[in-house]
Amino acid sequence: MIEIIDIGLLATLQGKPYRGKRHLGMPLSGPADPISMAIANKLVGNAYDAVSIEYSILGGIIKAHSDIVIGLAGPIETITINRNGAEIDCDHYNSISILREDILFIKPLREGAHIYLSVQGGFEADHHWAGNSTYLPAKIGGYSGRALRHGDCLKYKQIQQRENMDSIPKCYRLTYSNQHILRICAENGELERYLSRHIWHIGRQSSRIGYELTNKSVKKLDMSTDEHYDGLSRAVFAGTIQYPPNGNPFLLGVDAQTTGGYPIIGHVIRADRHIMGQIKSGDSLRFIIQKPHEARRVYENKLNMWRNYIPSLLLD
Amino acid sequence: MDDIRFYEDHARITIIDDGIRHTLFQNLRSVHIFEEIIIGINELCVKFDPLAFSEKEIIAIISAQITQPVLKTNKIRQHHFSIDFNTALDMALVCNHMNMKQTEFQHWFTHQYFKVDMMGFQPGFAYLSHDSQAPSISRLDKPRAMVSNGSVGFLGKTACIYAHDGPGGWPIIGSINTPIFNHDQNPPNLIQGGDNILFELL
Repeated sequence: MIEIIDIGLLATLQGKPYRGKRHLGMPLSGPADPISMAIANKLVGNAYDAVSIEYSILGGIIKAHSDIVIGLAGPIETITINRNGAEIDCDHYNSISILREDILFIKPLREGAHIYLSVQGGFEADHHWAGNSTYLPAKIGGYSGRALRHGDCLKYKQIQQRENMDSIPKCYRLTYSNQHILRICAENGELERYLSRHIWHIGRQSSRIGYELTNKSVKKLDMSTDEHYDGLSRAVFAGTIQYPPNGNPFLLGVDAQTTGGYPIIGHVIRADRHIMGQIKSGDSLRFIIQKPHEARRVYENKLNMWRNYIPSLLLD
Repeated sequence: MDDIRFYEDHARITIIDDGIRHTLFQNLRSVHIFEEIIIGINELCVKFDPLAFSEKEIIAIISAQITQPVLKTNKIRQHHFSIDFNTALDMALVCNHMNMKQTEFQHWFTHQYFKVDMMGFQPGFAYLSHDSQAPSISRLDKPRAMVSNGSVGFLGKTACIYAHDGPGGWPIIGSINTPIFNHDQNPPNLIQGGDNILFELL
């Protein structure tokens, strides 16, 4: 077992998302940054979507109640183990063996938003449909459908420990920033210019549900002349950019609702949606416009590149 | 099919006719090639793997299914829910818009056949509509931070049922006791798009 000592700002169990259930109002959910979680799992020999701890913004502290091998990925500054009072610095690009009674401290970088901790075998989690990720608004999946708390003891599947430790190849080590670039497809030429000509700031309303984009110097759009906007609620996805009446575009995240009535002005391309998982309040964001056929080519190239390292990886 | 618009990995198909839209929804679900098929009001949206299908192939699949009768015989399901108007938070506001007394409105509401247009917003949250004349009522200026599960919202031409406790901006005219989302059941949602609902006075 692993005991949760400190969760930082928020920690949840994330694993398989809830694919194919949007017609029931169930969003994808799952890891905000699926590539980082897949890397953490790869380090311990798990399937790419084995259940892992997702730490938001701040790091965390855990205590081991048995000898285990863990993998970490995401915007990490340092990993330290307290073993019988001695401090041991760890290289987080490698899998890490921790011993019973060890206490592990995860210190995050200032850049980025989500860190993943995987354990060999994967954590146990509540299962619904084909998913097992925590979706807090409906209180399902993960650890009894709720965020982790101090004192929670997490079980994991016992497997024979591997002798060889793994390491993330240098070419697959991600870098993190508080200035993000996302490639998007916009609804029309005017919206392409509107979205791509400005630097957007991530407002206070930012979470796994979505990100409010602000820029006081940008004029409000008049959506009343948009031929495709009829005010009716329609399907939205992670990566959809909505335009609410306050004039601040809202970029939907993995936990966002499945339908929305605000005008839709663009979509983050499939290849870049994982990047959204490392955006947080106070960061800045630029958009680069892609045409749908370009977006498909970029997606194919990125997926092929990552599948050379993590063969079964899926990006939604 | 009135209009189809393609994006990188999804397409929006405008279909005004309720029967055709719901039939196509059922037929497309039965072919198991789309990542998501979401029925909306006047629209069907399909999400697909852009590396597996071209736009031409998607159009061919949709065109083939739109002309088919419903493959699976899905009887329209009827639900009867007892509604408790004593839990209404915004009855005065709604009655004012409807130009009815409270008892008149309760009688009117319990004599409408509501159709489930779509599910969305939250898991199990149902958007309902009816065929009677009614004014449009705006959402609350300031959404409530907490609306109880089972609450029934009403915007005149449309209604909704909240499946979970959580924030909400619809005027609330009562609540039902029947849980419409139970994650211990498979499937967890009691109602789905295309179902009919009749509210009965508790």
